[in-house]
Amino acid sequence: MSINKLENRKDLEALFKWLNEPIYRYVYIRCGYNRELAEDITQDIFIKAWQKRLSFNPKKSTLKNWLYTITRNHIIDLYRKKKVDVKSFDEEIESGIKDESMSIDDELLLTDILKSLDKLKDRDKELLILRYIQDLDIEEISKIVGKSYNTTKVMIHRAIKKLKYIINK
Amino acid sequence: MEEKEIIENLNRFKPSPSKKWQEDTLDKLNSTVTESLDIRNSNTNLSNLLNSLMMKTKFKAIVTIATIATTLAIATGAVYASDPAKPGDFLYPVDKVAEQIRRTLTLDALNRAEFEMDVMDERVLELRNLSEGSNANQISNSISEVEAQKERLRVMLEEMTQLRARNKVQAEEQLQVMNKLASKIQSQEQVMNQVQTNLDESGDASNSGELDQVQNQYSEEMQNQIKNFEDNTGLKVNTNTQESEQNQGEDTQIQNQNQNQVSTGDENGGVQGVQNQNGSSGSNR
Repeated sequence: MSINKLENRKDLEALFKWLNEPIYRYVYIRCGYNRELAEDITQDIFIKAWQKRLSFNPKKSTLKNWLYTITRNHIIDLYRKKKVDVKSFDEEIESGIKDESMSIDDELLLTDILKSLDKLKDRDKELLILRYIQDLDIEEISKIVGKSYNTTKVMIHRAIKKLKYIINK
Repeated sequence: MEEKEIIENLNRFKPSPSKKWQEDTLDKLNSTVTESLDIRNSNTNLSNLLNSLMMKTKFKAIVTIATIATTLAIATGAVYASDPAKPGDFLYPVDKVAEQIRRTLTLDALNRAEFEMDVMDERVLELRNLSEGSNANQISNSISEVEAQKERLRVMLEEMTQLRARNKVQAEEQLQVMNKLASKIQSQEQVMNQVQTNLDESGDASNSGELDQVQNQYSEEMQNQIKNFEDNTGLKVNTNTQESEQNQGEDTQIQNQNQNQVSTGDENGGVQGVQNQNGSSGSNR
């Protein structure tokens, strides 16, 4: 279910029901694999989206891309104001991905992958999160990060190669 | 490990928020909307509202208005209509009455100023929606509504300043309101520019000229309010475009221990002069 306007309560509710999980997921990974912090930040983002609703222009962007951009900018703000620690999240990753549906081996494998992901440069990490965890297509990602389609595609391709190198090192 | 396996594993990683958080956040968002301007969709019990009004005799006139508005709304089944009414709609007078009630009930000056800013958002949004149609009379009325709201906002900001001078409002509290004002001015101007474009494209020179005048006055008056506040308090209002909705193509950079730079951009997808990995400048979108 997707919408492309944000003018009233119903729109906001629909937007939240549609995108709260992906936005939470993105925030969770980008802000240290901390559930409570991710929930707080995600809530702030939806409130911010409502407050900024006038800036949404359906002729220039989709509501989804617009919300992702707000999210991204908000996180960068938090980094800048040091409200989120920019550090390695190894311990948090280990405790953060406990999943009863996964086997121990799968959990360990995923832990390794996420720790390696965490070692990438922020831009590469973000691209891989958007592409392979958030399942956005390249066109959407290019609009969010402000690059051309081809540049984005190449950057994602290089990022996954770097990740593979780190994992297999 | 091959890329395919890495991608498959990343695909599987789908952390989710708790159901309780989702419910709590929906409630919080509902409150946020109610606090801003959507009294028509409020869950406020209207009879409780009227009862509390009845206790204060000086609100008899408001009770009368509310009764009429409620009667109208109930008769038309429209009080909980989901979409806000636009100027010219049958329900628009009901909206305006409800807004007036809310205005009268908001006694705190700071909250009132914020309320008027939010109502200004609504007026500007209404104007934008109308400008995409071709009813020149409705557009003209809407511009008048924007102008009237501009005046209300100006009066409220001046009242807040007077209260601050009498130590009834703290400068820091007013700073929060002024920061919000600075942010809203930028986004409202952006929308009014869109309206100008729509009017120019449709050849509506009369409304275009009228809006131009209102927009210039609004911008000037609000900038004066901000400047006077800064001069009198020594506090700096945040007009940073990263904080505001405008954010037209201005990149901001972040230093991270592991990386070079990540750029932010206009939420509608415009970024200028972005540095790519090789250090050369990208083109404008």
